[in-house]
Amino acid sequence: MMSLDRTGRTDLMDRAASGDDTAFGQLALAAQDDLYRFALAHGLKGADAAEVTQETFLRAFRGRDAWRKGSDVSGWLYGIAINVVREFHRRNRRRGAEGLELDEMAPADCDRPGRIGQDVPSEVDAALTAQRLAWALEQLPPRQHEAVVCRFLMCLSLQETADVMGCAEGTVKAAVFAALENLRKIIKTPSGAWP
Amino acid sequence: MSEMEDRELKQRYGPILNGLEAMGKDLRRRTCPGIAWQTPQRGNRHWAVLAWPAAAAAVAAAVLAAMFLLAPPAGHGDNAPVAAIAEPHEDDLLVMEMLVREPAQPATSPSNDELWWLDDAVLNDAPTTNLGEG
Repeated sequence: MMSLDRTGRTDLMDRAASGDDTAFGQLALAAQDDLYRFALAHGLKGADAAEVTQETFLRAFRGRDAWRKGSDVSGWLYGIAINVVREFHRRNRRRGAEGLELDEMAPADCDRPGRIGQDVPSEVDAALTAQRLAWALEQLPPRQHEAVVCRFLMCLSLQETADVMGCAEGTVKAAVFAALENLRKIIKTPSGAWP
Repeated sequence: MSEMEDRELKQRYGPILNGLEAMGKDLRRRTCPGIAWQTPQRGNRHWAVLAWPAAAAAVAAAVLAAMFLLAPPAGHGDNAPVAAIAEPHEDDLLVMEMLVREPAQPATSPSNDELWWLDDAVLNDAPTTNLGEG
């Protein structure tokens, strides 16, 4: 599978906007994994995530005439994808920890010095299962969920997240903070301790 | 940032951020089932863009048709059976109650300066940077 950096993808989109349909096909191959993961991270199941990916590329193709050369195509695609996801959720109004079907959670231990959480007791990390965290994410209000997905699961920068969500950076930070606070409340046991 | 504040931040958010990091790692192992992009035919209203969704839709339609044919006969008019409404689970009620009581946004949102620990330089790849700095 082709792997291109952002500059390469932007070049492909520039060519596609000029009428090179083959270039758009190459861009679709290069970017489909990222968009698929983006949809999965928003709680969609595999088949639905693939459908969202397909719809995103269709809309991008139809909107290629409006493409501004040199823009960040990844952010542009994510911006289209997030609207497709929002429409999907509005149509389906799903609840529960669906979609992010984690086969086996990666080890939670930190491999870099100085990273947050290094001093937290290991039994606390182990207890926070992927399934429970995924379920907790699904309980968040949509904007907070989006902010967490973009910042922590897709590892987008603040500016990129703001562009994708269509809001200011400060709004993103406030949404992330509120999301983290809500996640703590959702995950904590009634006694107030971590599970 | 004092050592106590650093410890409190880690204690407060560490498990969640660690969990999200692990989810992100797992997510990056996922790959999209191959989408073979086929440029829509210009001027043709019937675009066969991707082959496999059409096949999947046909299978789903066949399954639904079979389920409909095999389903027990439904009631008619006012005697039609009403689907039982499942009682919410106790945990769901607890979560809903918590979320209703606690506002989705804090009553007084922290300022942008107070949320410095959510900036890119702190959260992203910075081996020597932790919540105690900045």
